[in-house]
Amino acid sequence: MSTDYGGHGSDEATRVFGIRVDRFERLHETVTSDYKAAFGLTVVVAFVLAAIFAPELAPYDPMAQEYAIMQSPSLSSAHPLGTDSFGRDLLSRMMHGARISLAVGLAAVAIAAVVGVGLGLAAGYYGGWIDDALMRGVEVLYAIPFLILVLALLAVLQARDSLLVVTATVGVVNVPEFARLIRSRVLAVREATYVEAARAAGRSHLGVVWHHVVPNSLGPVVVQGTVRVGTAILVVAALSFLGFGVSEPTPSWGAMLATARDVMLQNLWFSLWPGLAILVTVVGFTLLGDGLRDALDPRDPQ
Amino acid sequence: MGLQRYVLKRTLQAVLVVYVVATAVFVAVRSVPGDPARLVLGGNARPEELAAVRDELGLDEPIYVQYFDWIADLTRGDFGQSIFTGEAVLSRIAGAAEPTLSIGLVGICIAFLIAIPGGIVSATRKGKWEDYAATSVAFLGVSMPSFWIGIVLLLTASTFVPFLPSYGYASISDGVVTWLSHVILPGLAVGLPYAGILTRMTRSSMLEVLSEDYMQTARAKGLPPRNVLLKHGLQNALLPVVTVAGILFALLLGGIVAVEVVFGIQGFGRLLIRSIERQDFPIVQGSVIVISIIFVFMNLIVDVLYTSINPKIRYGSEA
Repeated sequence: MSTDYGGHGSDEATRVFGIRVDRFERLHETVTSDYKAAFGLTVVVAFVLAAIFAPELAPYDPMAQEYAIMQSPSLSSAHPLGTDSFGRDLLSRMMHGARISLAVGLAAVAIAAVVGVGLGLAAGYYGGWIDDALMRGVEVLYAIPFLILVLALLAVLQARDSLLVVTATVGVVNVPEFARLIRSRVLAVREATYVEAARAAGRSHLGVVWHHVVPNSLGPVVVQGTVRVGTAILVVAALSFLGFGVSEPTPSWGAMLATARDVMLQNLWFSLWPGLAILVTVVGFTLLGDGLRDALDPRDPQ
Repeated sequence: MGLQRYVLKRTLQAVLVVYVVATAVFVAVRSVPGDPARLVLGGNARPEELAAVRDELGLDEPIYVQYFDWIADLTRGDFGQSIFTGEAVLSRIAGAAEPTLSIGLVGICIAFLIAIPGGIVSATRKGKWEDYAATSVAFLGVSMPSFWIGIVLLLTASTFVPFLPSYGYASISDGVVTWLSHVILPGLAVGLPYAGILTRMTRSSMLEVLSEDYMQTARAKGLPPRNVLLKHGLQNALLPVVTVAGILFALLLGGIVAVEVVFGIQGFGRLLIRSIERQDFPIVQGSVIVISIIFVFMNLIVDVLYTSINPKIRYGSEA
């Protein structure tokens, strides 16, 4: 464990969201020198933009059916990715589908990060029964496979069509990941001299946590969060493939694959595009996360 | 602490986790707003049906009595009955287990068959094109949903290997070849993403071992490089990789649910999805508890094996 990270407290270096600006500079370096991180960033930005501006950019209404081409779904200049068996433009559906995948993925991870960081801070800083209770809870959540846990929660909540509940549930099952991460960081920072000094100088527990512990623990959370968005997108795709969260005719990548499954032998494209989109997005977030780790990890000063 | 005490301690911990899962399931179902009997029967249940279920679930009893009954039933292996078929939950789950276990087993075998050579090549040729190829493929494997791999495999196989059945399941009692021909594609679909994870683990574990002093000693003794690599290197590198096999099965199980849908296989995953759709709560509850039992004890077995194989680990050390 190095002591160099933020060892001088939060006042010396300029910080944005608790991350020292010189690390942003290193991030810039990483992105420009590390082609993998650059690729990841490009993919993520491109998909986010496509998702945000889908209503403007998409060439067709994703729900509109063109009866004339329903029977012969194939690639053409009018429909570069082809049309599905309902005569709907696949490119437009893909772009609108990106909205759901990304929104749910990002929101779920945001929920997980906020709740997980809170719990992890409490457990790590205060220790004792809070810590014990939290860690037992984490063990229990780990005792059931991710997807099955989400399915069971959705069953109990009786909300299989609610995208909001799906998002919250995927968020909840991700909480332990963040809680454990931040807990271990806090344990490492808790005994640091500057934390002791701040306590001695009369800062309250909350003040110490907020001004000293949080800024020094956020880097790994950002890294983990980026990678986890990719995993969340995979789970959301599986859920909507199974018919949870989103249902026809709303476009989502997983649900498109479910529709494609019934006709896949007649047309390859239906099942190819949504899967490739999932693959590329997940790769993008993972590479970006790896790049961020290299840039933010203070233990590896390069 | 001796091995026996260690095993005892870990078993008690495992039982505790399962107990907490069972309690959580109880609390979750009871804390849903509304009548659990209505939850169980659905919206249009007749009053006399509701009364019957309420009686059966003991809903008229005080909550702590319900709770102790529930735990007592579980310890006797009584997980309740399916609302729709009336069949005992455990035998319903056991009936759906064979296809799922088959896919999981084939998936794990495939994952290891790919990952171990892949990881060795990657580690021994570090920084060379073989390493890049192996790590890139592993990375792509991890980034794909297994049900999509299933769809792509199905499409490819139906074109190039038309004799491979693309739908349904055949029991192992129908002959090993028939069985394998039905589970090979689903097995690949769930196995490939995990081959990716395992390849990375084998690679890093192998790299660590390769830098150990005893490897150098073995080479200095003049042993043939092949022997050094396989006997001294691989044996030590594989230990941590095998440890994840237990956790791996639980992860696989998540992937199998959607893959069963792709291949039209009536396994545990389909049972779970159908039960959720029909709100067959006893089966959903039972499934969650059974899975947690499998998972927790799988990890326990792996931990115990690991500690008894690896002389470096003391049982007393807290993990």
